[in-house]
Amino acid sequence: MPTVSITQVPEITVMVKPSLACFVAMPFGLTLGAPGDAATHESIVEATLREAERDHPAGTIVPLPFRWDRDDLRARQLRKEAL
Amino acid sequence: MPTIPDDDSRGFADRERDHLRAGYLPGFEWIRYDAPSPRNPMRVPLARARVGLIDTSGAHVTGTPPVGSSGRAALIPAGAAVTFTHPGFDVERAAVDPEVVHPVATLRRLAARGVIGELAPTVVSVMGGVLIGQRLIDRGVPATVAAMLDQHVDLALLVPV
Repeated sequence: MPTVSITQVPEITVMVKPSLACFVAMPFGLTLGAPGDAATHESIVEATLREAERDHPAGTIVPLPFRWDRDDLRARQLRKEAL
Repeated sequence: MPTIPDDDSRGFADRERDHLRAGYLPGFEWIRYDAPSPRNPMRVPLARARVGLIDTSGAHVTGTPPVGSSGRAALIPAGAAVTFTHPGFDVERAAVDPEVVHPVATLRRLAARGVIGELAPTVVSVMGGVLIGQRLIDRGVPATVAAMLDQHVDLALLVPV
């Protein structure tokens, strides 16, 4: 069965080595964007699914152009200063 | 590991491991595999594919018990009202809009636009904060795989939190 995953932390993903993953720099708990931001939710999911049709070697992590820029939540989460 | 441009998360794995060891499980370690899972080619175009959704948000049908740290998988009818029970993220944000981690309506819009064929009718959710990862491998993974195969999914999508 073809599979594709999203990842927010590539260095953890590379330990478990899924067949294909797509990196988005989004906060934990807001993987697809802010509440109510349906356009971003849809863009991230669509971009991820489209990578499943492409010819990547097993274990590839594809960087996608989605970054959280609303506040410093992700940065604080990565420093273990916020949930 | 290969360098990923603009990866702001480098160093987090060590910080998270140390945090979990100090506060929750002294022997915590990440699960590691030596080789990647193989890629299986798509057998139908994405526009005709039945997509199966798996998330690690700890979603469960509202009014039913959470899966907790058992490693079990919750099988959820797509579109059912869900509650998120997970110690590792602020579930209030997902309570406001489940789509941020449990994108059922999002996938249905993609189906309506013709990007995918359809969303499989049963969504799988596990609680990704299971510190003893073997529980997830022993309990959650077999149920997840069975749910995807039973639904004849053409592509499985994993959304973490």
